[in-house]
Amino acid sequence: MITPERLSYLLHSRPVPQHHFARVGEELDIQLPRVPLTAETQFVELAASLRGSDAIEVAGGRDVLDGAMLPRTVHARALRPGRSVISIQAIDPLSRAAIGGVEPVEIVIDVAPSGG
Amino acid sequence: MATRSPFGVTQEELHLMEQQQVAANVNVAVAPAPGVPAPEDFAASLANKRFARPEEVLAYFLEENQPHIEVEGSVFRLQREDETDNLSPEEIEQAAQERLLWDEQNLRPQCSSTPAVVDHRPDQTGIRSQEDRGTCVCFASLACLEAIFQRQGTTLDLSEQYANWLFMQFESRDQCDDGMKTTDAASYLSQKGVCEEALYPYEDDATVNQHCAAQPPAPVQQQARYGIGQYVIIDRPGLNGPSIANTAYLECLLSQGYDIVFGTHVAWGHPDAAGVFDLIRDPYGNPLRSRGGHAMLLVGYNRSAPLPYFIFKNSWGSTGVGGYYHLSYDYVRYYSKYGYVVLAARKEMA
Repeated sequence: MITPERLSYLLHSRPVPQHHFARVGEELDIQLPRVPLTAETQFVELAASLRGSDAIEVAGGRDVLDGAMLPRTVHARALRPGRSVISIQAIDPLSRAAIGGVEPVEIVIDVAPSGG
Repeated sequence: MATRSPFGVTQEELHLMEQQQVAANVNVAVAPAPGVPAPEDFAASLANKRFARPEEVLAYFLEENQPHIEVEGSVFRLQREDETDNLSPEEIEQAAQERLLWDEQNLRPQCSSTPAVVDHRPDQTGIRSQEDRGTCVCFASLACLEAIFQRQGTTLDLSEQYANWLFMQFESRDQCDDGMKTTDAASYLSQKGVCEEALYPYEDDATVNQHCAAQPPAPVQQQARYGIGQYVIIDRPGLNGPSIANTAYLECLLSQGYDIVFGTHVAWGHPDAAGVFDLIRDPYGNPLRSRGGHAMLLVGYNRSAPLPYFIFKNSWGSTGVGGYYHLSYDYVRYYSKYGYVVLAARKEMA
């Protein structure tokens, strides 16, 4: 059974840009952490969720590659000024409860008015 | 047409499907109503594969080799790609009983029957471990080549480190990167070969990260001569025909001596006493979500087991049943993605 410490390491050991800026109407590709699917991670799910002020709309992501737990990128569109946060959390796939002790990855997207 | 214990879909199950917003996708008609497709349209939608997620729903409800589905007392048969409307009901029934598949013209096998058990494990080379890297496609692909050479009398241990470097080269990535579409490996290995393990040994994540941009030395690249001569990609057009989700098709390939490099979603829980991972549902009845993609080598099946299963050579050390994973037929129908079969391996790539 993988430990929370090891999971945290896997989530954070390959850093991705954690702060994006965009203007309304722009589109952006947001890179997600690269976590391999292996014997030790097979019973863990990495769940991505979006919260904040609906500043962006996630328009889709590339397929999850074989050997990986997450898409490499998600494609987003800036809708309105504000801040959205993509949070990636390790959860138990059956109970869907967060696994304690694992620091989630948070990717912040700040959207400014267009042309401002 | 005689019906052989059709797998009925109950009102409750249809209601559940509607709750999951799946019914709309497959146009399941519970009862004739304005704007709701008639049962004939439902049957046509099955035959024409015009449904968005039907295989996912049907895979769950259909049993192996069960050609009928019953909706509200009406029985529909799932039409195979090659079948014509000229067959009589008796011929259709006979075909189903004989596990008749299709007459192959382009490298598709023809099986009038398959044994209850096929097991290619004796043909396989040793169990390997990809350790903490997402290099499963390399391991599954080279395991396939090694088994082919083994059957020809040559025992080889091919270099997954080299394969990953090669694959990443094709994708303009460095060798520290990993993860790829399983079927792309077939194309890559048909263009460039790999060397033996001793010439370019495998490294764990921490070690390879010390030299991401490194390339195999020229003498090693000159020895990269093992690859694919001919292959066939298996996609997932549905549950019928040459599909990775068609368990009869997979059995047919395996019974003719082929192994299948297999891409799958990972969504298993813990295995049963026989080591079989089955499809698991959450408390709402939904199959568990995929947790990622994985590649393994499909090397056999056991249809006579209480819970029939396929046998996969994995690359996670001795986990599973001595390094092999057993996945139930329902699991394969629901979570399989694609795969490829190597028809001919090469020892002298340019």
